[in-house]
Amino acid sequence: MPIRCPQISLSAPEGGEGRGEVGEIQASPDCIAHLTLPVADATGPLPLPPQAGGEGKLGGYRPTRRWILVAAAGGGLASLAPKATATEAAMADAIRELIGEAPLERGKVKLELPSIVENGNAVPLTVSIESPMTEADHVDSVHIFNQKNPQPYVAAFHLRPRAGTARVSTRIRLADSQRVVAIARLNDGSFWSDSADVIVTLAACTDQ
Amino acid sequence: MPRVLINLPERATRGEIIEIKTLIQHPMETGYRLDSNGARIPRDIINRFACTYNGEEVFRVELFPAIAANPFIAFSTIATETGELVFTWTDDDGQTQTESRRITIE
Amino acid sequence: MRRLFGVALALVATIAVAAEIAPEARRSGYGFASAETRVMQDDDTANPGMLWVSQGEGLWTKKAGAAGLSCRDCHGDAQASMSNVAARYPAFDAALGRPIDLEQRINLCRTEHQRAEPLTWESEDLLALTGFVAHQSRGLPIAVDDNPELNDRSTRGALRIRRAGRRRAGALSDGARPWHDDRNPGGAPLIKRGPVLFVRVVVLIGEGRDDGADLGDRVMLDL
Repeated sequence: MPIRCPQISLSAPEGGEGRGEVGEIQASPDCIAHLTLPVADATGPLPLPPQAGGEGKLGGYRPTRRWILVAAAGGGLASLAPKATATEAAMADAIRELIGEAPLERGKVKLELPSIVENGNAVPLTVSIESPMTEADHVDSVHIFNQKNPQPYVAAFHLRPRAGTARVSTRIRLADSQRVVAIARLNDGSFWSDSADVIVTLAACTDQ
Repeated sequence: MPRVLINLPERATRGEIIEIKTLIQHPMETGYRLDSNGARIPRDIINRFACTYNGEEVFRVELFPAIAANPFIAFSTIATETGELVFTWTDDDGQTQTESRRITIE
Repeated sequence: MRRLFGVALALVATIAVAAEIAPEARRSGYGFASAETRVMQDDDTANPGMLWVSQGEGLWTKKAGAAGLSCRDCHGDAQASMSNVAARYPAFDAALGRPIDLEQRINLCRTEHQRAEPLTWESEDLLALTGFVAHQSRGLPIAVDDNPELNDRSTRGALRIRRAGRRRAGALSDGARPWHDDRNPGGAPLIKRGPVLFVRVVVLIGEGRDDGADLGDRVMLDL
């Protein structure tokens, strides 16, 4: 008797699994959804290193999730939303639009993001720039870009010398594990940048 | 009326750098989500936040859909004189919400 | 179907095991949250849940219903009267003959005393009021009654809706679990109502890790 592959949602109630996440159904000839079990006696801090197989299409890039996944009958569709993603090119274009032909120097800027986040819907971000914040030498603006959200822009902060310190914090959404770039424009027209790579367990933007 | 939480000291010494934290209720609808019928939920975000200190703008930020819901923004400013800090949030429809706080310099 | 049943039995067994955690071994979900989550929770002006607590504070004084009463009219100052209330829920309601949670208790007050319409499940107002009331128990230990009738209903053979209630400590409730959509704040799991009766099983896993693992990684099993 042919077994119909169950169409199941193995993700959090509101969906939100990105492509290639643990939880995506691995098609197999006998139509049994593969289970990815946590290592019961794992030692060491999380995230656990990827186990062989089961990490999804994108290979051993993501840590194994700590879910016990169960096949269930009925209900729910696998996450099928068309995924709108910006590309590196879109981020590069956005950056070029900001800096023009000027060189992008590394230094002065410190972009703080957690290296791994559980929830891409609320990722804390802090940017601080070494600057005396005087009339003669201060940060004019700080621009944040991302690599894989539907849009490359995140925020643009505009500061005055009377900020005292060039340090801002917010919370952002990340649709996938990706790189985030912060670019500071100083009053002398120079651009300085820093970037951070973030692994995102639960993606934002693509949930429904 | 969306709720707002603002954290800043009521008193400061002249020249002290104070940190201001703000939080406002807003779903920051990205425009990329689909509703239960599969239709796209239109974008509706706060796209601008500004702070003035006794009338002079001291901080401004442009926000995009990548800012998390209930936008949290923290920044600093120098406590120059006693007066009023006014915070204004503007959404895609041009609606604004304004809150003000007094600060006393000693 | 048989495989499903076997899995279901395994889960029931897991629930039974989970229910046996000795009181001294129980830990607050706070200890399982990641560092970033803890930082966000600790700061009342950065914690988005506090926006709803603030909204609930406003609702506490708002008159409602045919009786024209606000919560404050009967309960006075919430800080005094609601202290330790949330810690006692879910509680067994003798009149109804079944367990109720805090949201249902609030709605009972609305219908019976304020003579108002009950607030919709998962609505902003109900989440805000519940959050505000729960906030008055912040830091207090869970003190759910050891009523045998309550326990019997919770662990009876059939699979029942169960919340990670025993892991709460005051303000940190289900709604603050790290992976929930920040569009749905507050203390209720997202239970969808529909024409088909279904049962949701919550399996608590990930216990015993003190390294930032998020608490209550859960599986929703729709039967």
